[in-house]
Amino acid sequence: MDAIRRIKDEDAILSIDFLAGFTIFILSLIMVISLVPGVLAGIQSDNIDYDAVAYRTSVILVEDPGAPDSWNYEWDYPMIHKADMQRLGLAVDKETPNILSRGKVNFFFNLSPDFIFSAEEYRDKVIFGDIPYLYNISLKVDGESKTYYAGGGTEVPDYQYGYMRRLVKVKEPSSAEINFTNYPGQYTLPLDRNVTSITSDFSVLFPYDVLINKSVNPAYRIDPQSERVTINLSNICSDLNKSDLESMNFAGIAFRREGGGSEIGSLVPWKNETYSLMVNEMPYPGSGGEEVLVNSTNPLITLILYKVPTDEVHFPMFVNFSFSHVFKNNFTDHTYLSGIHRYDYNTSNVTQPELKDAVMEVAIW
Amino acid sequence: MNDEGQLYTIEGITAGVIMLVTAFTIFNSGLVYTPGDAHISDMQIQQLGYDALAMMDTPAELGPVKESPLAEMIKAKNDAGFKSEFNRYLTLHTGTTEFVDSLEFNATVFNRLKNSGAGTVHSYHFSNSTMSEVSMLTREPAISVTRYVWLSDRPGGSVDSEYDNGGQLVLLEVLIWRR
Repeated sequence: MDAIRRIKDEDAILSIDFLAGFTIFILSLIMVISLVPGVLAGIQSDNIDYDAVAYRTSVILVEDPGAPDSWNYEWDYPMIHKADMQRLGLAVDKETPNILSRGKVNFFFNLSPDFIFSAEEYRDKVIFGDIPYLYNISLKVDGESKTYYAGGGTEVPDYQYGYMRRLVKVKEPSSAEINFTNYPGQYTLPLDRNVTSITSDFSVLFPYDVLINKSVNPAYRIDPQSERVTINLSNICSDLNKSDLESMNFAGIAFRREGGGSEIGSLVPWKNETYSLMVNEMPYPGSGGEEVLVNSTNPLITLILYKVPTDEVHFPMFVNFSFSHVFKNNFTDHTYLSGIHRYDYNTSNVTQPELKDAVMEVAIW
Repeated sequence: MNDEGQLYTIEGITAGVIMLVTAFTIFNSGLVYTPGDAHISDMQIQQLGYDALAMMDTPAELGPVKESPLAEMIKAKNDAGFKSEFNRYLTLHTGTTEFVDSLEFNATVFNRLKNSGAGTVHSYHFSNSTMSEVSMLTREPAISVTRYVWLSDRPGGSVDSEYDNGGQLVLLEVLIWRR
């Protein structure tokens, strides 16, 4: 009786059948698992295909805008933003492959002294993969003598390496070259002879609703949110009656929303997070600086806007250049500088973004 | 019979492990599609060709109805212009690696006729590289790259049997091979 009961009780007994079946199953599972990474990519396994890595790197660089897709870090403490960048794609937009942003190119190839990538960061953010690949990424823009190299790269070896060559265009930012000799009568106003001094604004208007318009192809779009814009004022009083002017001074700038309203942005330092103002290529404070004589010295006034100085980009913004005029006498009527220059897609107002041919070579080994 | 603590547990664990490994493998892999390594040199030429056509089909500036240099060449039947421009793009390099200028090409345009011939496709030779003698002996396979190009009007000098009037899309096919 005892013996029979022991046989019937199968608790916690493994049969030979099960052991054999389970062993076969586990063995085949292990084989499948070891095959799968090679099938999927051929990159993570030992069987490294350098060409595939070079191809992937070139696709990420040339066709992807990166993450985040806007690198508007020219302004404040750019180094702290490096940790936020997960992927370094240089394209202007995901809709426009092979069109690279000049701003991103400058960052990527370490042309901005405040923003340097290390070899480790290139590997983490653009080449990827667990293996510390060696690389050489170069870019040559047509018409420029210099070839740009990604930092930390080494000379390409003679032996086996992965290689990819991509043809691209580099989108140069727009600028407004306002030479007043080219706009006769457009930016002057008459003044009664008895008024012998006046302070006026010459304004550059950014109609954001026109500029940041989705119907404009991103390759040609003027986007002050992600690209710098430059305004150059030259020959400022060429259209005024110089013999009538006792003095004309440049006093600073102000950012204002359309329809009056209060000033936008802090203006105290000459270079803050939104802009840099220069007179004859020397830094100049946006407000409160010593006034610059314009009528006799004929200075070049340059304003570079790195970033829209407000988050409310849907409102058109004025950049006002303030000039004070003092006239010699009240014998004749006067003219003074005033007017609004539109920063838009009109080629007579703004030098449009230009696409320059370039070639990128990626070598990985 | 009491089955507690036997095979069902192990099967469950096995199934769980399989699912986890599958999911982990799929979601953890890079997702850039990469052509197989057997045809990597074909792929490089093909990518270069597509890039060159795309760049030639991109106007340098924004214009209301600005045509690309490529469209202008097809419209003017400018085969010499295409030859030098396409060759210039194929030979652009940064100087980082040793560059060998060894690519040859042959371009054909395809357009569809709606008015005469009732939808037949018309094609003609557009341009080609300077064929060297070595090129005639080549055994390298040719790679085909294509691009649809918008023309605002039919090429100058064309007659109705060659081209419909007005704006149309034509297909440009370029065969590229290494000599």
